[in-house]
Amino acid sequence: MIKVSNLKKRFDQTEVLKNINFEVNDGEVVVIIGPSGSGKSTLLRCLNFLEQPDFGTIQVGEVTVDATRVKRAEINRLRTQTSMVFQHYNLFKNKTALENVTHALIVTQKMDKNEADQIGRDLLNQVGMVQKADSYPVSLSGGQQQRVGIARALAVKPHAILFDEPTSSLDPEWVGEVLRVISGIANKRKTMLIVTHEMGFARQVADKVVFMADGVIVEQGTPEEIFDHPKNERTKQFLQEYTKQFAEDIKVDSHASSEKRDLLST
Amino acid sequence: MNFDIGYMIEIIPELLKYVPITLYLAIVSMIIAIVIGVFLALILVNKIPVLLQIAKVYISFFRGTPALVQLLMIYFGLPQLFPLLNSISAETAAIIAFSINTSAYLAEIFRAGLESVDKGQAEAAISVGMTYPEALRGIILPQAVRNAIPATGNMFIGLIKNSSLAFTIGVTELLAQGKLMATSNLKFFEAYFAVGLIYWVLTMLYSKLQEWYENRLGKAYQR
Amino acid sequence: MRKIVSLLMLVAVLLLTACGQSAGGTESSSEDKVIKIGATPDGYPLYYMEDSEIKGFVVEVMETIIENAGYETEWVLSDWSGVLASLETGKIDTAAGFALTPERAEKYDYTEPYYYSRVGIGVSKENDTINTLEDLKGKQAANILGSNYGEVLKENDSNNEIEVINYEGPEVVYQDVASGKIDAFVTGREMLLVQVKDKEIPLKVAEEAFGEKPVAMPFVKNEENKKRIEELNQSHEELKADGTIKELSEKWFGEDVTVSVEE
Repeated sequence: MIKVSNLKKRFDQTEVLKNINFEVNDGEVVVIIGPSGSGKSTLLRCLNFLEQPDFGTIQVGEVTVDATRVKRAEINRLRTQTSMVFQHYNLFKNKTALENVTHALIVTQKMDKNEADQIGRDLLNQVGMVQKADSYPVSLSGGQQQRVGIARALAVKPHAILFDEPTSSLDPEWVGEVLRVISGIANKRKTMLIVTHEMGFARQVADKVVFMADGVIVEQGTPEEIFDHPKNERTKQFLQEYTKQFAEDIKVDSHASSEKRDLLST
Repeated sequence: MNFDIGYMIEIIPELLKYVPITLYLAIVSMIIAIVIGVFLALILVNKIPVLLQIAKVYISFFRGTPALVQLLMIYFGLPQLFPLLNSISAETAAIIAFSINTSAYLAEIFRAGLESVDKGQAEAAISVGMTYPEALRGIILPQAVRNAIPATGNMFIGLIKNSSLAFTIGVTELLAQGKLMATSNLKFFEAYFAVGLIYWVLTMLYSKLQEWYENRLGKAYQR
Repeated sequence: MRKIVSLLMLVAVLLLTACGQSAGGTESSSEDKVIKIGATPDGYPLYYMEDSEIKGFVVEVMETIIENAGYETEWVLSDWSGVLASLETGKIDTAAGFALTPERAEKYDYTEPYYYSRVGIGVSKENDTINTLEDLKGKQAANILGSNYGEVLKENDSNNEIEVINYEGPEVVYQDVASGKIDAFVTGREMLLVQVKDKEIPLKVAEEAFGEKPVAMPFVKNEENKKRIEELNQSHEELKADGTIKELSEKWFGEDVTVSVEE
């Protein structure tokens, strides 16, 4: 399980996380939603210390860390409990798709290369990328890169996977395939924490939805509770805004996406 | 004074005997400079307190003073402070001076190389449980190396040519031998021209090697 | 990557140790019976390289005197600035072609002079106007950096009427003087005469020579060197007496430059 208590984080003068408390049970899929700048990504990045929290305790699996007195070795142990899928994929540019998946196994777990390759191919197969195993990231589309990124995150058998806006920088045409892969994993009862703007997807995969704004958790509950019967004014407002925005997006989508595609392929 | 092409060609075989000492000075110094340069660059990039200040002074001093001055200081100056160092040979002193001097430049080249690697690469490595040194070895350095190779190659070519400074402390390498050979018949220009040709061929061969290596490394980055 | 880094480190360490050992080797050869002579062999026929060996008048005279005194010689070649620094720091025992000036006399002890050098003026073959030091006034004269001929010229030019231009090496000077870019070249008279005769340097030597300086072997001031200097001077006397030194000079220059013309 994941348990976060009294988590605080500030960047210079701005308090990004103001006393965050929440829990994720094993096998649970939790989706975090909220406006930009609400601290969702920072919260996720505090869980593996990509951002160092200022205060609070974080427990992931067997490892508990107190932010005010933490040693490097503890941070390293905490990091082995999770893996992350990034908005910009962050595939290792000097490694093939397969090597991206197996590298950590060989380096950190000292796994035999053949064994790691076997695991890597299985995972690439799961995300539909086995035919591109020997391709380098530069030759893969965004959707393909993100699917490799997911396989990489699965490879280390983490206690939980953290998804940091996994589809936000994808061309709309690739969003579907990536969400399908994530849903597939969710169905296997893997503990997952997902920051996303894809509300339909959130409703579909989430066991629990957390709504964040201005560095606090405003409301949390089942998808039905949050999407259909939000209690808090800010939640309601956010969801309304979002629905309006979504409708506009669909209108402009047809030209916008083709333009974007042209840009990406050059 | 007519240019004697025959003589120029005639002395090339004799001059070639001094290519090994020139390459020896350049290659050994380069290897040591790379090791020091990587450490300095890591200190710069990670802003390690205390070491950062030391590294900055080191870099500014050894970039800011002429290599010849450094060479003289190491060979003649240091033994006066530390008599133990009196036994270092001229070759060793030259290698130490060239290594230190080159490392100061390489530190900046490598720093730029490291900083050109997207921060997300390190984050991704850490997120799947690698430690920073592991991320450095497997992910960041290989990408930084690719970015740093052209500038590093220039440093090496410069080092091949600047190794002639070593004659000041008595190491006879390619250029010095050219000068010395010309002392018996005063055909300096022929000797210099022959020396120049050899340097040119050396750097061309090196450039070919670098090109091959860059292509090999670049494989991952071509669509 | 890790393999490459450790390999690089290993190679570096091995090579450095190898250097360290060879350094130890040269150290042991600096026993008392060897005299290390620093030289920049850039002045035919005083000292020059042929077939990877240092040769020349100064080389022969010094070797003859030193070996006759029961020492062995070891030549250490480098740039002149390196020779000076090596002498000062004890990396060599003495230096070849070291003119004895008053300033230099304070710093080192010297043997008796083994030859007397005078400054010669080299001019282009077509030049008929510069024959004496007096003729150089208001003109430019080239000097090789680090040599003291320029200094000697200035000593003899009390009103500062001659402009001295320093050059890195002789090769450019010959061309510039021959082509008239610069009026004259001051260097060792004996050296220049032989070079013009033997090596077809496109210059001629003006009639007047000036600024005689004794050339002797310098040694750092200490008790051991005092003893060496005595031995060398005694050896020198013997060789002068039996005519060996004069013979050497005549072989190289066709005249005896080992005695002063001014005294």
